[in-house]
Amino acid sequence: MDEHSENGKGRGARGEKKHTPGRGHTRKSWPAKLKRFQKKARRQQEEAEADLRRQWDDWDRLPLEVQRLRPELKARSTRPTYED
Amino acid sequence: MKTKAPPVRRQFANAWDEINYLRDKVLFWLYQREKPEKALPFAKRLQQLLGRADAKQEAILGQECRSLAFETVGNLAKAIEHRQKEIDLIRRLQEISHGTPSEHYALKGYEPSDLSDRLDLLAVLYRDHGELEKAIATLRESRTLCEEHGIEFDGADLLSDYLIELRAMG
Repeated sequence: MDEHSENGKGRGARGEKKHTPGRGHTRKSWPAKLKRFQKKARRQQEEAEADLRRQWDDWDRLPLEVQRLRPELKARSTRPTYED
Repeated sequence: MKTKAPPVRRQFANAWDEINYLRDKVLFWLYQREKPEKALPFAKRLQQLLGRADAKQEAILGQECRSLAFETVGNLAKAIEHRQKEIDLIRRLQEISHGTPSEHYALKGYEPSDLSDRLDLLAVLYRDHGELEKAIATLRESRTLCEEHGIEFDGADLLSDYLIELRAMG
């Protein structure tokens, strides 16, 4: 007998929803995990921004003639906005 | 063991990012694998892109890429012209960057050893174009540069081969 209905939900022999223990509840570890992921993402974003800012600072410090000789040194992303 | 070709890329941050990618592709097929026919499509793309990104021919990388593109299509006279321009621009960069706070950053990739490499490449182009004496003079220039900066001269074998060739020609 086919245990799966058309919409993909597992169904038992008499048509009820199949028993899937543990579903529908937030795991105890999840909020902590979420916080950890958010923290890591924020850190990576800040690092990337700092790196981009450094690239632009290096570029701005170069004399105009050097900038013309070495255009490939220009930062590859647009200048980040400076906020207080 | 054969080295692999640089991975294919289809997205680029800007024109110079793409130029760098195409340069690596041309270098791989032209010098590592010695199959200029494989380098040809990349060389053509390079020429088109350079026409837009470096229309005034001011960039060192632009001159290098033009030289590589002409070398790929077999136009050695043009390849020599652009390699020579590249060397002149590197010398200018070294001159104006010397002693400035941004010297280290500005000269990244264009230090004396890199200039010596470019001179060796120019010598090979001269030789392939049938100008052996100019090739030898260029290699001697490269050797002097290496001696001045206390770095190893990579073209020693090339120089001795060319000198033998010159003697054989009488």
